[in-house]
Amino acid sequence: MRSETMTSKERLECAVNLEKPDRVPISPLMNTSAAAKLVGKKYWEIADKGYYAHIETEIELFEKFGGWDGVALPLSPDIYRLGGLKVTTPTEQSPEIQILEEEFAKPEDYEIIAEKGMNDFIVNHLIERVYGKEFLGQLGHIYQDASRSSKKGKDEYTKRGAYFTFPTLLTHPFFKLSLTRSMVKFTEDLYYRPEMVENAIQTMTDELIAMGKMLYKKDNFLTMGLVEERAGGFFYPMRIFERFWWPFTKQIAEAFWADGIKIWFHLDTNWDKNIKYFKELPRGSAIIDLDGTTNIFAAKEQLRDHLCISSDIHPALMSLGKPEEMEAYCKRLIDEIGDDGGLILCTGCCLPVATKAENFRAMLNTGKTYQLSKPA
Amino acid sequence: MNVMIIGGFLGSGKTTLLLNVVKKMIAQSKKIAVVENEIGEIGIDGNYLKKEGLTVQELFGGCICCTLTAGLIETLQKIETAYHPDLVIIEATGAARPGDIVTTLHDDNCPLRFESIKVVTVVDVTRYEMLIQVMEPLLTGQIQRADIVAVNKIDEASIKQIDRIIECIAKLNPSAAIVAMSAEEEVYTLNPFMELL
Repeated sequence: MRSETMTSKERLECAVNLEKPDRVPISPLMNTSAAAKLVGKKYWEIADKGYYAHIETEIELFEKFGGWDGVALPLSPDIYRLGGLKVTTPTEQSPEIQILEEEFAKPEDYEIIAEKGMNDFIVNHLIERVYGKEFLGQLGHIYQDASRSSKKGKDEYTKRGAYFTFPTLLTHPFFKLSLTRSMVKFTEDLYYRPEMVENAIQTMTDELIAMGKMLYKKDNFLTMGLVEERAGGFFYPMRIFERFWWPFTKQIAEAFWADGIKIWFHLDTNWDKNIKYFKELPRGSAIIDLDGTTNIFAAKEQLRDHLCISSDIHPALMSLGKPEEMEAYCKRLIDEIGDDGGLILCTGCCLPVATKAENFRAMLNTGKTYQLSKPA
Repeated sequence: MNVMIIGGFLGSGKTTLLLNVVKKMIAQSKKIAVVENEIGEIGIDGNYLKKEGLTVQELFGGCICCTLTAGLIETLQKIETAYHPDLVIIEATGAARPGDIVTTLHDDNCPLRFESIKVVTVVDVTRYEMLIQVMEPLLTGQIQRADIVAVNKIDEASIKQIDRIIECIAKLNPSAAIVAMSAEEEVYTLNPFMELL
């Protein structure tokens, strides 16, 4: 078998630039609850023990399974709270973080958001509504803990040769409004008050661009992350997508690209009907990260030699499948999606809590060895 | 294992229908387990149902793709082992398509075997015409694989509106039984739901 000739950073950059790396880069999206289970910890016992307890658990998993190329910092209950989202505290019975949607933002808040931005709205209105005034007094401590822990976590991962795929997953304005208004109310707003929604999304788009440019540091991160779970064709028709999502997404992508920033689009649910729009983005400017419900092979045909795809191992395969099925699927991805180099081997969405250790190991092993075992 | 999946968009009345079905089943001395999976606050008073002899499991998780696969099967395995219920009712999140849950349960790798899996989709008649404009793929997906479509909140709609919507639903899913009802007012008969089981 041949040996590796690239660093994780080189390998990931190669894939995004649609060139052939020595082997497929591997970058599973973590979930601390799943990581805890795989290293024999109980997530509900560490969930509120500060941010570094999350990072430490994920690093433990990284070491136990021999590492991989791309990493990112975890989401903790506090990180969700900083975003004004109501979340459950993990328990033994319900060990994952769950966002509990309610109509915390009201229709009249669209005007505030359009005028002052979402961040201002979160700090001055939303957090108090969700968690009460007393929580505002904890913000400084949470920010400080997150900041110190992130720095330490970055150093620890870097020592281990891993490269950060993105500084954070920013939430797309469309998704953020859906979470803060609730999916029901937001969907009604798209019908009854579309202009108010559009105005708010425009301000949030400008804000997101500024935030992304501030957080991104060249040579420290592969991309800037952008998450959208709801705008795809699984939920909404194309006319909604074309009016409320795509124009703003293009603004973000073009503004980032002008500064040399690529986007990691984390796209949950089925995007079959939406994939063609991404061809409008500059070649090599983004990674399309799919969760196993979009037809990745059809997506590849549309995006071949244009954008890198991050794929896509469905949670069902990871948790219910067999190692030989995992190996076969990873080989198929490498052969058919990664044949031109534009592939990052990834979980579909995050690593599920019910992940079988042998399946995760099979994913990593196949990614690390399959191409190197072939004649050069 | 017998499973009834109750789906439908958020706020359509799934929980109210579920409670009515549960009461009827308990009156028949059936052993029922409920799996709750919603993206908002849990709709059911779990303690009340537990006092009534029910097993209630909350199925929470980050995203529907993760939760509705392994998480669901793990939950059903626990229920089967611990309680051997006559019926498991899954109240699916309003953001999911119940048909996708059926696909998951029929997956070759699913270790459970099912005697029957039936899907009931609840539609809010008062919001259907608005929602089908802005969220057609989800609503259509929820209706198309249902065994019964429950057209709910008929006490708040005109006869013309109800007829119009029933006609639309019948076109989307010609094989489904369509039941017009008001779960809140209990203006309906539970027979079609009981006959499913």
